[in-house]
Amino acid sequence: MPESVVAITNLSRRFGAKAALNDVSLDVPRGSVFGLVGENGAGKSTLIKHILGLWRAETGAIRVFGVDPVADPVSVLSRVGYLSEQPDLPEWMTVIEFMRYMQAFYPKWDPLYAEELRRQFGLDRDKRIRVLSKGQRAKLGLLGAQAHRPDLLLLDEPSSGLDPIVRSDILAAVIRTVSEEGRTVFFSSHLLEEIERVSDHIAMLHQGKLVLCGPLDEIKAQYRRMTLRFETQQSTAPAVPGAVSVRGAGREWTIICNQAIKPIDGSHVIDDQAASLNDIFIGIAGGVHSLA
Amino acid sequence: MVLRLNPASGVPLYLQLIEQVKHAIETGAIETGEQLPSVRKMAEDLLINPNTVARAYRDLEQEGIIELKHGSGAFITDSVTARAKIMTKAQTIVQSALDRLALFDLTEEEIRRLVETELSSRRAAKSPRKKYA
Amino acid sequence: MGCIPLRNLALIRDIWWRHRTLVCLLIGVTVFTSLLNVALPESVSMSADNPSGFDARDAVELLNFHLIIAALLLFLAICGYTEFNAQKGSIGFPHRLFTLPLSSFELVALPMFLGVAAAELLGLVWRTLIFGANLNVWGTMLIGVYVVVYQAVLWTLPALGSLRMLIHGVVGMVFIIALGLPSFPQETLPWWLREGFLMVWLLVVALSAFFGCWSFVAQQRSGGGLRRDWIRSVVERASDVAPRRRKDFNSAAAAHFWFEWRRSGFMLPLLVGAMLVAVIGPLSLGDDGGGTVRILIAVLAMPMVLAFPVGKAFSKPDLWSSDMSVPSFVAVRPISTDDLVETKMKVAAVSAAVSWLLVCAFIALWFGLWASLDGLNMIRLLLWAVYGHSMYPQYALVILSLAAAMLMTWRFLVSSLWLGLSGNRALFATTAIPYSLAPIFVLAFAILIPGNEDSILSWMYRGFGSVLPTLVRIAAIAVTSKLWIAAWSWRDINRVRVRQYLFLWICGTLVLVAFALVSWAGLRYIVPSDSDQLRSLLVLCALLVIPFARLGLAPGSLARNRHRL
Repeated sequence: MPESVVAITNLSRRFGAKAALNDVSLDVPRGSVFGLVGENGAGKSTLIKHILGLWRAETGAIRVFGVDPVADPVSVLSRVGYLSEQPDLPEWMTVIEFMRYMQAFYPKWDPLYAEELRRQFGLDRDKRIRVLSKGQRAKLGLLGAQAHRPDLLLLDEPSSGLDPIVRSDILAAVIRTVSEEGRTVFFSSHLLEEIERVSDHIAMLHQGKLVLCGPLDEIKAQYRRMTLRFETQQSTAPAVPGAVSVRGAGREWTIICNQAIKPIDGSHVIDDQAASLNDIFIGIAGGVHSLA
Repeated sequence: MVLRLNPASGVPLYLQLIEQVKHAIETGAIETGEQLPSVRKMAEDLLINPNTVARAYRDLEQEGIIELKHGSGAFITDSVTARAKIMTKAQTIVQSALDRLALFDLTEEEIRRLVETELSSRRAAKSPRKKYA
Repeated sequence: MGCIPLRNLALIRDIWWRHRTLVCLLIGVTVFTSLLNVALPESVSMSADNPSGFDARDAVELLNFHLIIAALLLFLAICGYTEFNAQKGSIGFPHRLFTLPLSSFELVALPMFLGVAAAELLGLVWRTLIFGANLNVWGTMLIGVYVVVYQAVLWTLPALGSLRMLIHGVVGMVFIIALGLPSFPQETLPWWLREGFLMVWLLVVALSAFFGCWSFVAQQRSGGGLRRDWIRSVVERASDVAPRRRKDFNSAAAAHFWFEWRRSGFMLPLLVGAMLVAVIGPLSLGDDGGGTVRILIAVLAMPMVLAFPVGKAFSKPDLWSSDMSVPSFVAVRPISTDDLVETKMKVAAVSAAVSWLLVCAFIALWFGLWASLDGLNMIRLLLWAVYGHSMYPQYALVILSLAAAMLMTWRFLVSSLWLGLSGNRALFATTAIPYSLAPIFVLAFAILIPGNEDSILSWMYRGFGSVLPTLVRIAAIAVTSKLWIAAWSWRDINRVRVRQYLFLWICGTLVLVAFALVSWAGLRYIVPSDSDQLRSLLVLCALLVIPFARLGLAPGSLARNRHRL
């Protein structure tokens, strides 16, 4: 159980002067749903492309199922199902041709399951992909990523720009995948609500750096959202040792912190509750900015 | 039984699920001897991680509310009914309190805020962090 | 214009900002050349009486020539004003400008106006400062109209991708001819090419280019519609007619072979078929025996001539996309890079074979049904004269030349795989330049050869014998280095694959060597030179034809592209 499906150590990648990934290390345990969050341009897609072997590790190492995905793409990719934000599907194929094409690549492809998914998604066998809507393309991409029951399902912003029905189809696929013993899901999203629903591990990227990584429960137990009331008006944000972010105005300030903090003199706690992932995300992504 | 979870609130999903199952028993939406959906079915219906459902079921079992029978699923235990009676009593107290509050002409929102502030200050009083304040 | 609205200034600033480096470079080149020519001419022209031929004056002129080419390329790069539009997947008029608060007329007219103005200015500077010559009104107008047409071609035909280079070549050729038209003896020209009429032509061309461009951009801006990619959609419809896949594939390689065939392989046979039906067929029907030989040569050359540009497009990871990187749909499939290259090579082979099957079928039909075979008697006589009356050498020659032609066609399709698959746009574009210059060479030959046949033939007779030993030496060096590089480039590739391809290469090369020897048997009577050396040259060339070293590089360059090494 504890063995990791994806192991990344000290991965860095630069695009010109910009560090897209900066010394990222993470392990994705087998059987987990691993959610990757971060603002746009934080390096989520770059990280996923590295896992797929579409980018070679500049420094550091990546092992997927214990294998370097660049050195041996066939053995890695045959166990991976991948769906990206804009699935790059061959427009000229018909749905059935697409399914046959995919089937040829994956020995574990289950034609019955694929057919069941196709019916469930309401995709016409003989329609060309060119005439499918965006949601239908996403569904077809999902079918292609799922029908060989991959050991690792990789989803790169799968649901951005899609309607709620397709989004729930995608989440259902995630759950179905992980319900089957030993299968792992790694997906990135900036819809925190989705991540919070289905993942048990999360990692957060901020400007190419891994700022948060671990089991979701632990992280949520660790972070708290406290509201302090000061006796006097505060014109600038009060310096609270141990706080990730401090926001507010006047006498009331809301603090996101990852440990128990001592309220500074002249203030008392009026509210203390578990921070939601949204609080943590905005706290880290926004807080680092405002304090820097 | 309709369950509705809100991932955006800070409360962990498994706790929300436990609350909702309890609530469903209290309101009589599920009764003793009835079966809850399997972990996988529940996870797919609610679109949450199966581990979360499993954890909620485990906690519910430890509290004696449900009984996990291997292979056949989760059943509501008899003991729950006793609890449900207490809850019915408690509900009448809440009702009378609300009747009295109605005299002050408070809005629903104001009443909810009052209750939540009271609950949260009690929670803060119980938590060890209080001693720093 | 009165006062230019501020929003137009914003567009001008965008154009400047995008091209500032190139503009500075262009100005730099122009200033440098002007200074050079203003400072030098007196002192240099002093030494002009040097009788030995090449002197400083010539050197300056050569330099001038290169600089003007550089300036011309820079100018064309700037005034093209195209961008990659991710949404359409093609390079064309920048779609991001569509959201600017400008009318489509302004969007088109402003860059065109700037382009024309810059061209005229540049032309003026080059003519007066550097060449000290003056161009007439006609030339000045031609320059302006050429810029308009150039931009119109780039903007209105995004679906053609790099094929637009070919159109530019043809258009440039037409304009160069047009430049000389007024100085032609007027009475030899038809009435619609006389001087007075030319201006009307020019006006019509410029206006239709501009209005076409305007309406196209306006249409694109309001969502495009059916007309936007009509060329591509016609080809897509044509390919949709291809039988749908009704059965499962036996293997991943088979599935990908089908993918590549549908994506790029059918292109060459389709073009060959279209040429046969649309051009050669009607020509052959109208032929009374006089043109039979010429049509036969055209039919036989056509697959190879077409394979040349098609091969360039074929060598890219995706024939239709102007994006040079491996499509992620293919890149994430569990198929090795070696297999991807092998599939490409197989598809190319089938593509070449089907094309030649079409050609053979056409020739069989043509000869059997409506050809007037009298025209071929000359060939038959020639063959008799060379090979004697026995039919066997003739059969051998026909079979060998068909095999050689098929191999050549295949070779054109695969020889630049290592460049195209690398995803290196600069490298690919540089190697594409000869393709756009090809029409100019064709034109040069077309102008030079008529009237000069005798002198060229006599040069061949005199010159070839003396150049031959050098050619043999060069070919020998080329063969040696080819084999050395091949040994190096195939070092990392699976042994089994190396053995397979080596076997195929040897078979193909043997066919070509046999063809070389058979044709030598005839050629030695025609080409007056040392026949042993001629034989060596032909055999060495046969060894060079089928790519070996380059194909060994292809998997490596595809892997670099796929994994962004």
